Amino acid sequence: MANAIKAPNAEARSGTERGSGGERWYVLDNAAAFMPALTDRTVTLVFRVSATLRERVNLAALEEAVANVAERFPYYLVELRHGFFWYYLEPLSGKAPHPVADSRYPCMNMRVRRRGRFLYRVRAYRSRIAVEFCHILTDGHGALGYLKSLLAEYLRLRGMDTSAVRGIFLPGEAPAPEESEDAFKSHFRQDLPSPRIAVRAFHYPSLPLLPGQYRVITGAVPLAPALAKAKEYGSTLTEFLVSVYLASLQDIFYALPAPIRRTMRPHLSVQVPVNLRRLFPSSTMRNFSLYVLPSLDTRLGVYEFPEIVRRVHHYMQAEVDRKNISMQISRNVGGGRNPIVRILPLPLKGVAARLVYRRLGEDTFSGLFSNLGPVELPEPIASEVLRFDFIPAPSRRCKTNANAISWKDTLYIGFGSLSASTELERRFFTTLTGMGFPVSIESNM
Amino acid sequence: MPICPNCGVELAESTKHCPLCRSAIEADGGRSEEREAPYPEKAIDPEHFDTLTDAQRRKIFLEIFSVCSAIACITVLAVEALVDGRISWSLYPVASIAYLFFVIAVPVALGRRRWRATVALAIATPLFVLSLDMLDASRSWFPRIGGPITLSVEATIAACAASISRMKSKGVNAIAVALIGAAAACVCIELAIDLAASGSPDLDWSAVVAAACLPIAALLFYAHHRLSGRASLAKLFHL
Repeated sequence: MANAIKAPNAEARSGTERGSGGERWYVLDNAAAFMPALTDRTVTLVFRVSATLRERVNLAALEEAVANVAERFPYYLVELRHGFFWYYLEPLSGKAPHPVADSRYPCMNMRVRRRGRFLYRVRAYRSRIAVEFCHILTDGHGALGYLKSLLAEYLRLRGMDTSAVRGIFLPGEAPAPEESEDAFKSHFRQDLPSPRIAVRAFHYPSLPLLPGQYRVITGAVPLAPALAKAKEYGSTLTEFLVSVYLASLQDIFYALPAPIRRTMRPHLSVQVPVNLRRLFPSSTMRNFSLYVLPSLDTRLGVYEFPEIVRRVHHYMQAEVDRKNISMQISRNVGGGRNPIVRILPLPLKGVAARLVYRRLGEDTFSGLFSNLGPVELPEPIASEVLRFDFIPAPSRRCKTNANAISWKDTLYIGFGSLSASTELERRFFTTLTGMGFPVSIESNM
Repeated sequence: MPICPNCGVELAESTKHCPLCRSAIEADGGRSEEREAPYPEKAIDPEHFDTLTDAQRRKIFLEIFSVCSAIACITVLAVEALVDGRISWSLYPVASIAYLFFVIAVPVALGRRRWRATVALAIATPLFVLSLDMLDASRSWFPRIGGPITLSVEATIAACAASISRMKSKGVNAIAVALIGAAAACVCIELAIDLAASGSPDLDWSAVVAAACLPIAALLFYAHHRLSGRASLAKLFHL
């Protein structure tokens, strides 16, 4: 039997909800447990998923839709609080967020540690409805699920008959307890070895943007030719796009003057988040994703593009696997259960989290590429949506990151950057146009 | 329907300001200004709208500070009333707390109207000293000692502030003026004490203070006028 992983630890208390009634509160999921300590005004850990409609957004209907949908997702109607040992989430009873104005610089300025603040917000601009979620609350899957519900409710309020719509969380339904579970704990096994610590990776030297600025460059690429090209190379679309990203990083690395290049780390590495719901059965709407790190070692020489795709393909086929991912889950959940970690007061945990995240996290990858995949919406909602966008959270160390999302026949690749240089984006899209793809670009700066 | 010129969303009829970005909606409903850019022109921090204004912050501070001051006064009075069964020495801390409240609350309440706050404090200080004198009916020291000292110190501070504010270039010369003011204040204090005690002025310790301050003030004046225009302290100290 291919799957020899044991059944999930049934004894583990995986639900994040605690207490009842007015005393109800939520434990942060394992991935989010240390995130609050890593946030500041710029590095907000806030990402965005947005949908552009055919018609201009009506504010009154959107406000009503946000209020109606809020009750369907009670585990998102929370504020961040800090206890003596851990952060936790407390319901903001009787409140619902109001839509806010969109900004030239998305994903910025969410002060999650202040009292009375939701960890997500809905923004409107012309015909676009955007939801910005802090990663403390959920990952891309959860944010997209919420956006779909919001779109369905908004369009219902605008007169659309959505009674036959299935496959979307709708207001009025009772949320399942599994939606707020910590799926990491459900699939935790204690007896697994820890994965190897990745080597430190190359970081492109570049001046930062001014404080408060965040550059977004989105490229729209026809989906069918991109899929055909990925198939031609024998890879999936994600593997193909990650290869283009790595190839662009390699170009940047070799474009550096030799004396500077010699002082840089030789490993080019990309963090590729994996939606674990595809590997482990779970219907959680909290975080449930980990990552793999396809990389190139420049000490071995220059890689041709087909070679990069081959390496990325074989690496990801081997790594995106229940057994390998289980090791990461085991390390992360096991770390949180360590008695020394548990007795550390929260401020000391924050200091430790920043050090650990730097060494095990952002030091080990040069950038991030996340593909949310094709968005599926039932008719008649689908016919009202023109496009989807997916913007990554700002990162100070890995300044330029990319997200991709597909809608109908178009692939939207969104780069978010705190770097003054647009070299990575330019090389990425130039590589695509060099392969014959028509790319249309838009930016906020 | 009116459309916000910044957000581009449809708003309810008769809306004058966009609820999202606070932009004013023009008479034609904003239809004339359509931006096709993928992002708004403005960088908006949605939480900025939730933050308190200066006036609101001042109001909250005054409320909290008033309650705290009142609690302190009541506590002191209650302690003496319970322990000694009368009210005597507790009036001194109460008067001090009241004066402290005035010194802090008046500038906060008046905000940027600093002149009014300064005048109010200048009046309040002699009144505070007078109230301390009046608490003890057995002896009167305000007309001979408290009043002259308070007024002379205030006059010295006012004179120093006026002369410093008139200086074209402010540097160590401001410190020199402050030193001269301190020397003058000490002389006034000793004169007031001597006249109250023996009826004749006998400058003693204030002369020592003046002998220490005035040469330093002279040195600072010299340094200021000698160095002004020739050396930049900002450059020298990387300020």
